[in-house]
Amino acid sequence: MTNISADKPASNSSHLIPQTLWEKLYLGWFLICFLMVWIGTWAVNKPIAVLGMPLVYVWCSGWGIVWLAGCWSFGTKIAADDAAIKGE
Amino acid sequence: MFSESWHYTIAIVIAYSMLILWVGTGRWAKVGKVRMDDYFKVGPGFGFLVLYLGIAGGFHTAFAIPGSMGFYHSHGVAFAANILWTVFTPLGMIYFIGSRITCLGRKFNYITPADMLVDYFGEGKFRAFIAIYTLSCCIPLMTANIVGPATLLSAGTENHIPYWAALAIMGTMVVIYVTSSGIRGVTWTTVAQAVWMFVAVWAAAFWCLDLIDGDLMALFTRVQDMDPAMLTLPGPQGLATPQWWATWPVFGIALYWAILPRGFMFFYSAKDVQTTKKIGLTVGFYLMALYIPAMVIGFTAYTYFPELSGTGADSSFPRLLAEYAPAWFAGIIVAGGLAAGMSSLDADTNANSAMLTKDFYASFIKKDATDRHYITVGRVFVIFLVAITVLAATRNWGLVVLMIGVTASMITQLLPAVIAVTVPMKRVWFTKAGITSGILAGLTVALATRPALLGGMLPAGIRFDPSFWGLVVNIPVALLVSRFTKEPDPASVARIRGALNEEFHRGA
Repeated sequence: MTNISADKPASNSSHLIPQTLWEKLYLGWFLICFLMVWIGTWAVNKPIAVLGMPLVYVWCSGWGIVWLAGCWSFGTKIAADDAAIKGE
Repeated sequence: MFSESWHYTIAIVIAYSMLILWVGTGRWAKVGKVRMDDYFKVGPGFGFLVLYLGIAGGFHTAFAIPGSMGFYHSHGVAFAANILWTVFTPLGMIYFIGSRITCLGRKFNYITPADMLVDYFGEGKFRAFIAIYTLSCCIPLMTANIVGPATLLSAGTENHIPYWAALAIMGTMVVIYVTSSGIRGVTWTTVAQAVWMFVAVWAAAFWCLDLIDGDLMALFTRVQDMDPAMLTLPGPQGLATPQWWATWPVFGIALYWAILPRGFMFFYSAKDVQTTKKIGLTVGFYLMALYIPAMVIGFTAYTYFPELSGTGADSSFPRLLAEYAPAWFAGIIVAGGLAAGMSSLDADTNANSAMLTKDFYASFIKKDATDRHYITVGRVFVIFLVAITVLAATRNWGLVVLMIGVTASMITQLLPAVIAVTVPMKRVWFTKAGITSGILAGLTVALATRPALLGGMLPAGIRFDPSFWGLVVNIPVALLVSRFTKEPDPASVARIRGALNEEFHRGA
């Protein structure tokens, strides 16, 4: 395997690892909300109505909206950081 | 003038068709330069709003109308699994991977998915392999997107437009605006289609609420009285087991949906990386918002026609419309169904035509022709692809049904290759031979673990989605073979990494 870091140590960090605080928060928020929908749903798997809708459905769509809103917020912070680095 | 109810439906469908042809062939959709990179994709790039609605419409297939309602009818709230992918795909795949595809596509002027992969792994037969592999699973997907809306149109006009004629109408419209305007026609029509289907689904949900006296709680109580299993997992037919829930939304949908060829074409056509990132952050709101009213529609159709099952469940909503909706309203919904199917069909047609032209014709048959020649050839491929799709849709081929089922598994096996190119790591882990071996091994396992084959014999606790099993084998095989085979050209790897570092890792 080619170890690129031997050639260019300054620019060969993995892109899988979040670099800034906002990127770490984005990833963390993504994982938490994902787990709430993915695993948390089983904890509320009851035929109960919330606002006239099934609890499972409200749970999944509610966390979906929270998931989107949080990542949108962190994503805009990341974009602002990028713009600052570019000098825009 | 309109003595029969189906006259209204036809009138509205004609109005919809005129609108789409006008939008798809208008001045704004004309190709700026006679160049492949400004026909199959948009050279200067689309801005946020147009591409947002283009991607939004392109992502919602015929499954949105009427498929999602049929899913609710059959499996109740197990449908909520779709909420998982409608958020995971934008925030995970479009934001993280799609923006990187945009970066490389703009920097190195890629046109097809294979362009990006061969730039990293090396040219040769690998390009043909990737193109054949991808095409073979996309044609059944095109067929799936024409069958549902054609059925809806035929039923909505009380079969005065026969099924074959509905197929021909959709196919002809797609041929006209894709050959006329390439991806510009695809994207502008998809903008109109995205708006139409959004309005249609929400209007249908409010109409359904009105049908059941305007009360969500009354609908809930009625469903609970009829079958409480509709309101919890795993659903009345036991579909949403923990194993299914754990793997289908992510491995069966989310991971592959964004790396379909149509996804690449959209990402390549973004004005810049920030445009794709913004779409990733926001398009989930649209995707989710279309599935929220689907619950009301699906449950209402269930309470009216609980006896429908199997493929009949998909006809529950069209039947509800036919028997209870005013004719003009049914026409709007039928046109919404056409919009859902055509918005994906046209994007797939353009992407597949690009692959046939660039990855086969220009790479292996006629290498040094002009761009004008290649665009003409691309237009011929559009007609060819749509003809095959329409023909396949007129036959009840078991092979097509099987292929639709394995499409997700096939595209998902490309994921290690896409990640290897777009997400640089400390080392180069994959080689061309490794990726090829991994794809073939993963595909074999994904096919074998389908429920109809060996998957049905697996212990219940490990009956995961076939795409998941494919990746479980694909990645180790790819890594192992890569250890002993020739690495990608270090200059190409460094060039691609440099482009990604510049955009995404400036602080590194």
